[in-house]
Amino acid sequence: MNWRLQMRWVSAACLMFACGEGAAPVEQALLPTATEAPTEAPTTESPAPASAPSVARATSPTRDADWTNAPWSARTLAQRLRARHTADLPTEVDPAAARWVATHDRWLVIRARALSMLRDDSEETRALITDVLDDEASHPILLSAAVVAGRASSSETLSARAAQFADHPDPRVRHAAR
Amino acid sequence: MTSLRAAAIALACCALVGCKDDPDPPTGGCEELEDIGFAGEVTHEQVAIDWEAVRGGGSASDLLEFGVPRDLESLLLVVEAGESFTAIGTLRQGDVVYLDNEADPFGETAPYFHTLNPAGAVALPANEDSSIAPGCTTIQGVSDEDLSARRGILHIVSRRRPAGGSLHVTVVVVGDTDLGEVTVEELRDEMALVFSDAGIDSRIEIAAVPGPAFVNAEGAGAAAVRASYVPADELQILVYLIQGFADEPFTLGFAAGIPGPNGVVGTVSSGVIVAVDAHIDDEGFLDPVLLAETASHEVGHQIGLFHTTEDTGDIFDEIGDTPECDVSFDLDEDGELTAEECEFADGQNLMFWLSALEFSQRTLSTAQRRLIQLSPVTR
Repeated sequence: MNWRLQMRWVSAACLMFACGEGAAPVEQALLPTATEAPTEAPTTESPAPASAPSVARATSPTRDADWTNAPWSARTLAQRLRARHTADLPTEVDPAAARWVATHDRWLVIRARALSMLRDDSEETRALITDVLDDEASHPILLSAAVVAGRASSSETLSARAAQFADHPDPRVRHAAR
Repeated sequence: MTSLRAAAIALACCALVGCKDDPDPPTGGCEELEDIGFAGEVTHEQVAIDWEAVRGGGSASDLLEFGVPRDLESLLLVVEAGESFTAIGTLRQGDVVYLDNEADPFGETAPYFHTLNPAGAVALPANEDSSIAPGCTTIQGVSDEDLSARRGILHIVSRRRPAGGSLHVTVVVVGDTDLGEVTVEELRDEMALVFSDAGIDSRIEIAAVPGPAFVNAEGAGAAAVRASYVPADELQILVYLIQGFADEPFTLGFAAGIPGPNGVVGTVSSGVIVAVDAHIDDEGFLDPVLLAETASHEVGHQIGLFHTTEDTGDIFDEIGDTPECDVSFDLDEDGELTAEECEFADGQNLMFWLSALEFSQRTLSTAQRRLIQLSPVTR
């Protein structure tokens, strides 16, 4: 691959992330698995300041998601979302597979990539996105950025709600909202 | 045409290795011109270049000449003009043309794939068959901007010592970037392990610079980060750690070129940038193994290694001994090759296009290792 082309693909991929949509009943909380927080638990906590550490401690998990009940294409999607460069991410995803990866993958950025690529307007997808919008403070920043970045092709209601993140303290969410 | 040595008087310097008289007589074939570099050493020389606007837009430097000695093992050329996109427009020896930007403006020609980039760089060799021959060599820098009122710098980093040594890397923590309970020393050790598993001896240092923990992936912010750490010892790869990319939160990290201006620090492309927060697991904890593998992959790009196989299985690097994973490996016939599908080809290679789900990717082919060992940052 030539380098200039790759740079252009990176830019194209950035645009791609402004295309998520839809939302619905959450198949599994988007919260970190250890937290086990309820999916509908509005919180009064303020969003973490931008400078707050997003990481906690060292770990090198050898575990993997339990793929037993995953949609048939979820594993392949999870593999493809491991592209080392965003320019190489898939442009279309199976919504059911993407929702599963967005809630089960052990690597948070893979969850976020899957979440940002949801473009369908199904009840399930809407619930997933609404869960993050309703309880943004409890979700990892990357997931919030993924949902907010995906507002462009979502319903007007979700777009308006996502736009409220324009003053978010984290620059990634703020950038996605603009 | 300008004698490179004559033009170099004002700016010529020898990074790290020290300046001294070349004990060997010129062998490069240019009349009255000295050869580049010094026998037995890795040398960074700089030449000031003036730009002239060219018809159709952009600008070109004067033609420069230098002699390539017989003992040259590798050469890295960098044309620098601030943040402007630059490239080696011409590199030739008589009728032998190595690079011709006019004929190949988008860098589509193997094995260099060289085109415009901030502080555009090219490394020779780029594979087993692309060393530059001894002889009188002509070079010209180009840019797609009119730089006629400005000056630029041609950096010549020559290696006149055998391949081998330790790959020198410095992990640079930017500003308030927080690794949680992972220490930068743990990360350093993981990176050393990745390189060791791949057959590369490394020496990894740690540093910190002031700066923003969040920058945009492209533009002035990232450029400023890459130029921010200027060690006295230039012959190393810099790996900048930031918290995240503000405009691309799902980007793991990226190199500044294939190759970048290795051995030249302080430019807008001097180093790779890796986002810490893109390597957090589902429990919110940083995974130093993932981070080390990303950083090492990007170091591979910065040195000049391409992906061994690209996503669709029909584009491969130009290195002869890296296994290729073609479409026959696409078991699910979805048109893309995963690391798992390519496990018994190049799926375990550090430079595969995907991070693997089921196994580590810490292998390099013999030729890939040799290119790293020929880099000016390995000594």
